[in-house]
Amino acid sequence: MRYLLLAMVLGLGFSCTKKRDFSQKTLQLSVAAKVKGFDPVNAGDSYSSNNINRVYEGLLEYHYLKRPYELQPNLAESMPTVSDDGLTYTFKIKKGVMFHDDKCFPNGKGRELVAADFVYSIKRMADLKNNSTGWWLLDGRIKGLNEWRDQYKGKDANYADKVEGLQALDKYTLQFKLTSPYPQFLYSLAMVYTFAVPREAVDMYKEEFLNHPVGTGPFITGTFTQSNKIVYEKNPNYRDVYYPSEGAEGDKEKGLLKDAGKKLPLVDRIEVMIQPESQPRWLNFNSGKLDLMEVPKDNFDQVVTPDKKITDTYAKKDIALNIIPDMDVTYIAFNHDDPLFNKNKKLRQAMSLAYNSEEANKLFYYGKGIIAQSIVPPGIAGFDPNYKNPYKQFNIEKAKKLLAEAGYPEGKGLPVIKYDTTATTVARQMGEFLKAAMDQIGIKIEVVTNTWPQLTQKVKKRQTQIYGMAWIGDYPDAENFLQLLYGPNAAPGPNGSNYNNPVFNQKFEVAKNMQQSPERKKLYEELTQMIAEEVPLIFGVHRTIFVAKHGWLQNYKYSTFANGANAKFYNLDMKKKEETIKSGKLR
Amino acid sequence: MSLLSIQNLTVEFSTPDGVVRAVNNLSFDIQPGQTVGLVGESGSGKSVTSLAAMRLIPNPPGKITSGKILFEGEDLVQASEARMREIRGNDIAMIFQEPMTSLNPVFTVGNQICETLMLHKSMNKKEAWARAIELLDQVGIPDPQRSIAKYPHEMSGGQKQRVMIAMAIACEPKLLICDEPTTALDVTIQKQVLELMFDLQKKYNMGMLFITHDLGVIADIADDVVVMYRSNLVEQSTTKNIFTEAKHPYTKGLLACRPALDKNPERLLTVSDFMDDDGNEIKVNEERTKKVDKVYKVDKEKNPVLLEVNNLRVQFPIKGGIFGRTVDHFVAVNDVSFKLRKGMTLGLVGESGCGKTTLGRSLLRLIEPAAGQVIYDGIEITKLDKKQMRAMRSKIQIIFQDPYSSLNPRMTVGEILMEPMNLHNIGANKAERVEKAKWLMNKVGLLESQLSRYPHEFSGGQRQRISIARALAVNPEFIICDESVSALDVSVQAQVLNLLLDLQEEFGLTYIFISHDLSVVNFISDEVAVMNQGKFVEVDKANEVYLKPKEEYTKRLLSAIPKGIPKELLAEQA
Amino acid sequence: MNSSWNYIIRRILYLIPVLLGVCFLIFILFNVVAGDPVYLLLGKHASVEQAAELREQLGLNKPLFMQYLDVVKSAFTFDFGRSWSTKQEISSMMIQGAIPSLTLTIPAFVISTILSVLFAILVAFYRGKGIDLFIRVTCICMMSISVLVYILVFQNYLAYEFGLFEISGYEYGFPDFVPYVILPIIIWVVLTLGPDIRFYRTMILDEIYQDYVRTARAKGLNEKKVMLKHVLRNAMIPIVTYTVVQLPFLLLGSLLLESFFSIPGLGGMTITALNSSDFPVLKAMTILSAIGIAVFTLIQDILYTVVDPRVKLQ
Repeated sequence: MRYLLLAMVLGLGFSCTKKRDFSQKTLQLSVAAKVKGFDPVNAGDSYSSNNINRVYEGLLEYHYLKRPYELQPNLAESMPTVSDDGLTYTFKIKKGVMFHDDKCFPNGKGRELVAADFVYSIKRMADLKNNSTGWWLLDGRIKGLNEWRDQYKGKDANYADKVEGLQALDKYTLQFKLTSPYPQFLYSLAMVYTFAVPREAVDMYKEEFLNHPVGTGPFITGTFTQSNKIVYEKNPNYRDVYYPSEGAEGDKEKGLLKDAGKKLPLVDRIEVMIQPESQPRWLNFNSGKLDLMEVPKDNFDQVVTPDKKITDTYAKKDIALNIIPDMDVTYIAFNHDDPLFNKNKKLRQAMSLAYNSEEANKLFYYGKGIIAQSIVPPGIAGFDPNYKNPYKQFNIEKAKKLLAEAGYPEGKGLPVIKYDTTATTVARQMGEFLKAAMDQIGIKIEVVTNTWPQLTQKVKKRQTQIYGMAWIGDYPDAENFLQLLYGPNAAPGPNGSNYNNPVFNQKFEVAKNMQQSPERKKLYEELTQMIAEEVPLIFGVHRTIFVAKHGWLQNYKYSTFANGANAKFYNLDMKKKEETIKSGKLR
Repeated sequence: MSLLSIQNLTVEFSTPDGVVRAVNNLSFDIQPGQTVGLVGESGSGKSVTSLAAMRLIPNPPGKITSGKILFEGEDLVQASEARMREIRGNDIAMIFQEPMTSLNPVFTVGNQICETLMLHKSMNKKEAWARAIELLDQVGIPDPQRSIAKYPHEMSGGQKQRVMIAMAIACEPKLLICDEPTTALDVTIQKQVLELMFDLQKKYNMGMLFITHDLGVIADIADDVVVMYRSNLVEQSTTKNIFTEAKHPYTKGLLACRPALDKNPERLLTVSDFMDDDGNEIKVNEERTKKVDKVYKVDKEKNPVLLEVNNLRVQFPIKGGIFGRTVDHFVAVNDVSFKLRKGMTLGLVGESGCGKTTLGRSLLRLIEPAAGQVIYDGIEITKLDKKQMRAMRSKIQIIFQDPYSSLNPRMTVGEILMEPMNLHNIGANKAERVEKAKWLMNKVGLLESQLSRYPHEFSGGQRQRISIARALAVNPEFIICDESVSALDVSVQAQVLNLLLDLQEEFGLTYIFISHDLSVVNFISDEVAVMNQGKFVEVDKANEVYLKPKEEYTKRLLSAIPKGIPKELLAEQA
Repeated sequence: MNSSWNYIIRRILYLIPVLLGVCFLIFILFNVVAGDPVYLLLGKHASVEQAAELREQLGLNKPLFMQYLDVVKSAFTFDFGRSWSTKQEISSMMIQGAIPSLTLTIPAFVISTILSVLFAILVAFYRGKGIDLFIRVTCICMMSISVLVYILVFQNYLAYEFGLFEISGYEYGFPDFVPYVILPIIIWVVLTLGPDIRFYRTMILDEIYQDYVRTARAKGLNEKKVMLKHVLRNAMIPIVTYTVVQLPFLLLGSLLLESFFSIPGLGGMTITALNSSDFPVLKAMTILSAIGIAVFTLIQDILYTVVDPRVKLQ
């Protein structure tokens, strides 16, 4: 036994830890869940889309630094020309953009990207067989595309078939024809679903295509395996793209323009660690094995002071804090199929008033959230920072009064209301919080926990009474949030509350078809406030993200959309990194 | 110089209830070549004495607190552990009661014999192996060349005990300690093993300490006898003296309680006929020692035929092939027919494996018979369905051999007795059942107050009484006693046998009494059936079978019974 | 020997009805009882049309009997198709996952078994003495601490503060994986040592009081020989069988350890599949576990005959 122990100790001695390598600029990132694969048309979750973003590119992208978010050309040479009727969009594509070298091409050399690649890629997204999770973006928008889709229902689609609204006029010219004005169309061209994939790769790898990413992007990763790590190398043939020389207000002071004009990408390599548990991830960040990480809630107080500054302990380690509002909204929805809620606005208002969002924010979001007055989050046209929703100002007396007016004084005559939520601890605690809140005015709540699939099922099948949910924006436009209450979108569509208000519907239809303008902004604001006082949902918070990053990581700016692509802008001060880690001050 | 001289030995055990003295101030000697019998009932301290001589008393809880054990003048009590290891197996060897469990099941017998030889005689593996074959040959194991590679389970009980003997004599020890070496064996085997040991003792001129509860066993081999009772030595003398002029009432009791073939008293004498609970001698009631000639009287009215068995056959499948089809049968009971009248006892004797237990169980359909009829009280049991059979089971009860394992250790005696009553709806309510349980306790000679105790708090004999009470709980008419007294000391056995007879008289019970002990069967039965290889060899009145056996097999069985008389006395008688 | 082979062949043939039964259970669980997974797979913007198409693609529209046949077919051909969520071939996912799982569980299992048997012998040898008491108390203390505490404390102190081990991660190939599995192996061993020592100690003590041990002592064997030869050889019978039945579970990996140490094993794969209603993966794992358990029970039976001469295969 002694020998065995000795052998074990010796075994431990020589290979316990890996040697760190500081010679290459390796960006070390992490994700909390498995990446499903690298097929742009199926980039349903943000984990996958962030990674697809590094390899594949689209016609447009968001400006890295400017806020509010601004679209700019990426693979397109410039922003499109739009016809006067707002139906025809014509793009010129950059010349000389090459796909990554891959054996699907002749001689393994990547070929040049052409306009036809976009025609193919977008048809691929429309192909029912691929069941793209992004189809809703273009559903009914492009002339002839829905017909093309329906024509091949249940059989193999013929991609050679011409679609009127989606054509390559020549090698570098791409033309879209829309069925009706749809200003949000451009956002979809900055989303991974419409990114360019080479047909050769799809044809060669078929079902395994999602494991063989071949794009035009700044980084290349080999065959993807379901593992705990994704490694990217810099694309050596990446076209000339430069770090922006202008940014949002204050970016210069933050040093975000230091690398202006430099050729991208600035790092040689990216390692993305897949680590489901936040604690080991946090330890890895603390020991310098990750360059940045969202502060886990268990460690929140260690890192963030009550006035939302970095604590001294972490400041000494040269760790900085970035606070970014995420584009989302949490809410408790009333199912308007239920006559109880549908007919009784005062009941909804009373419940909203009895719900103390400040308290909930403290309890469940560490005070990190911004109380939602309505459905549109900050940073988007339609959000009015000065607006206060009268039914969001916690007031028990007023709530009781409204409840009585609704016909249920002190809750008398009301059945027990079922609140559906997921089975996580926090979700359950939120349920209990709601129950206690409603108890104060005499409304009885029963908390029903579900698995996530069960809950979505119930919502889709309109089987709930009230339920907790959150919506994360797909693109920075109020339309993406307001559509959650648009009558024709009722379940199984995204409007799970089944709220249907003809006045709202009509105004929404007008607003969403307007090009970006002060008039549209005004209309969005009007809609936002209208919905706020109608209380079809009890609005919760807009969440914020607290990201801690090491001093050696430079040019870091968070963006809600296409965050993964930003890696090409990041820079690393490897000397600083080596010194910091070797000095031992991180421990 | 004595080979072994035990002087004022006291051994104590610490138990949760305080210190218990297992051996108290014991002294006796064994000379080279002499055989000393150490006799006593379970718990008398005889086994502890033997373990003490080997210094194998588990410590804790046991401890030799005073006295000397001189082996060739060397005090083993003071000897170092290393010295003891030299002595064990080499100078003093031991044979234990249970050959089934005393051999290590996962090693071949050769391996286990060689171990001793290699340890003490510094032989190499090859030499030891060759010597082991010789030893097996000496102890009468057939085909020793092949048998040496067998595992214990591949041998019969008698063969295992022979292996134990071979192992013990391997180093030609000066002293051989035998702790009940034949108790677990059939009479015929017992006889052979005893003869073997006696021969070997003579051959190697070993001193021998022979421990037993049955005086009859050692009558013809021991030179001296030491009788122990409740940790104390009560009598010590030559064997002849013990048998002819025993002084201590306990010794007298032991001698009297063994059923003998030639005398047939109404009831067996027990130790309690000779002495009271405090060990004082009491006068024996002469009436009780009187010999009665058993007469097999049958009254057609009072003793109608209760059980009729016709051509009963029980067989076990032998499976083979990929799907475990039955390829052949082992016939355990072969074409057995008999009749048993009410109030009578049929004794069933035979060696292990003759099918007597299977027969008993098949009558109750605990094992399904393959063919034949069992007619009980006019009802053909073999044709009953499950429900009817369950009702029938209250009339026929079975008492098993092992009183340790047949009682649920987690139930109180009261619960054990009332469980079958509940099952068969006996007694209108709980109170009545409790009353009945108390009555049963009285009937089997136990105390009402013991109903709330657990089985482990009782001695072996008391446990068998509980088993009997449980059988009686459902008011049976017919009881099958399957080796019910075989695991008991002779003195206790006598009490249980008397109890069975008393109960038979009182309730008119009918018994089938299964045993390998011919003298017990003879004592209790009206009729005896001798069984061999699944068949009845001989069925007749008890007296007839024992006094005038017709079949060769019966004669062989009878001749194997220890006479219980010392050699010298036999010689004198002759 | 012939009858042993018959037995083994028979037991392998018995696998067929067992598998059919498992398939039926799986079919009931996933195809009949479980809800419609398509909306989960399609995301928040899914349309009714897409849901119908996906149902068609996944074969959820087929008659139930055909769906059952599909399950049976996959069980007997080991072709489990593709994962619903990652679209990858399940067989290759399994191989990818089995390697990290096994590189963690096999060394951990071997080390913990050897150590616990050794400690058990030690405590059984010194039963009732101080060292016995000390180890037993330590075992109970070790058992009463939750797995999470070990993981968090060991990761925080041993890996992070003292920098002795990697915090988490994994790399395929020997010896690259070694630094990553050492700490989880240590935790595994610490976790299993307590109950195992206690179990093995009981097994050994059960044997120590047997008659043949007394016989061995009466031969003059020293206590070491008695323990290591006679007692241990017999105690190995329950120990071997106890350990063999644990083997199929090694393949399934360790859920918590894999998740906290970011080891891309089968345990993590199963959890991911569970969370994303990835039925084909769950079905494959269930079938594989059933086969594993059946096969190792057979191996257990065969081993029985090896360690215990009394047992014959019939």
